[in-house]
Amino acid sequence: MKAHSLLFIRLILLLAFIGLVAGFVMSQYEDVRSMVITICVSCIGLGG
Amino acid sequence: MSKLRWTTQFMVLAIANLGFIQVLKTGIPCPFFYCYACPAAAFACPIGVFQNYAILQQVPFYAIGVVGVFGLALGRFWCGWACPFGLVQDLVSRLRGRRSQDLVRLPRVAWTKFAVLVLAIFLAWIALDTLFCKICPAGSLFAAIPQRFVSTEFSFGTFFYVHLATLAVVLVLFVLVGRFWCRFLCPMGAVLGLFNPVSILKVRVDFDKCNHCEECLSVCPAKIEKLEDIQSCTDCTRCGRCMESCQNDAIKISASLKR
Repeated sequence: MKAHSLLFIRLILLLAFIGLVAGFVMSQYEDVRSMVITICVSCIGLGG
Repeated sequence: MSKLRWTTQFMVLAIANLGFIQVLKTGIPCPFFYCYACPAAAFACPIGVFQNYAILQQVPFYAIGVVGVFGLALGRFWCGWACPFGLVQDLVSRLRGRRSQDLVRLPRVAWTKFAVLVLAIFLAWIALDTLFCKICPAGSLFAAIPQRFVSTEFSFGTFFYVHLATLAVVLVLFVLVGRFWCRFLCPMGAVLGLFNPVSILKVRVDFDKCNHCEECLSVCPAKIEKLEDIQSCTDCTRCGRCMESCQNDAIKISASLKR
């Protein structure tokens, strides 16, 4: 892959991913955090 | 470099467990394979997050963005230098003693981990359950067993024994085949592997210096078969063993936006 096309691809991807994080961090961060805080005991084969 | 890699792996394991302090339980998906059901987990497992969003019939844009940034920066460097499950595999491999070669030699197969990734998300979407988590050996080791010791009020369910069985099977496989999980089954490795051809940090081969002795290929834990594949194949974990083995100093791990 030529140097300038690789640089272009990287910049586009980087902007796209940063855009996704910036656009959805407010609405989805707490959802993901709740997955870490609330342990899925059934997922690991334990019961109440 | 080997000592530095061990140090980094143990440090990441410690950082991944900072969640024993409640405020350090974050909503950041980690770029490696570590179960967020671990009592002390500080980060979210992206594969778990992807499955949960598949159950909700939503797209995990934020998690895709975070994993994308991590992948674009370092590719599968995370697998070789940070992943706690990779560390477990490296530790188990040491049971072979001084033998660096696998006890069972398997050819490189790149597609299986992508199949596991697609299947894990598809099954979650269809069955509305995190089925992959229920058999995940990292979940067994980092979550099911520790959680049972931390919270004794929990009783054992069927999937606890399934977890123990899958863990036992993969531990045996780790003894026989180095980095078996990374090479054939890891869905997180599949995600990060997609970024290997475009990641900023890469293994770069100077073909002017290379004398094609292929010593680098003979020590490669990912069993890469061609010199040309070292730079961009989805299996390279950037462990650096090829670099260490090269007598001509033709292999470097370096970061560049343009190359």
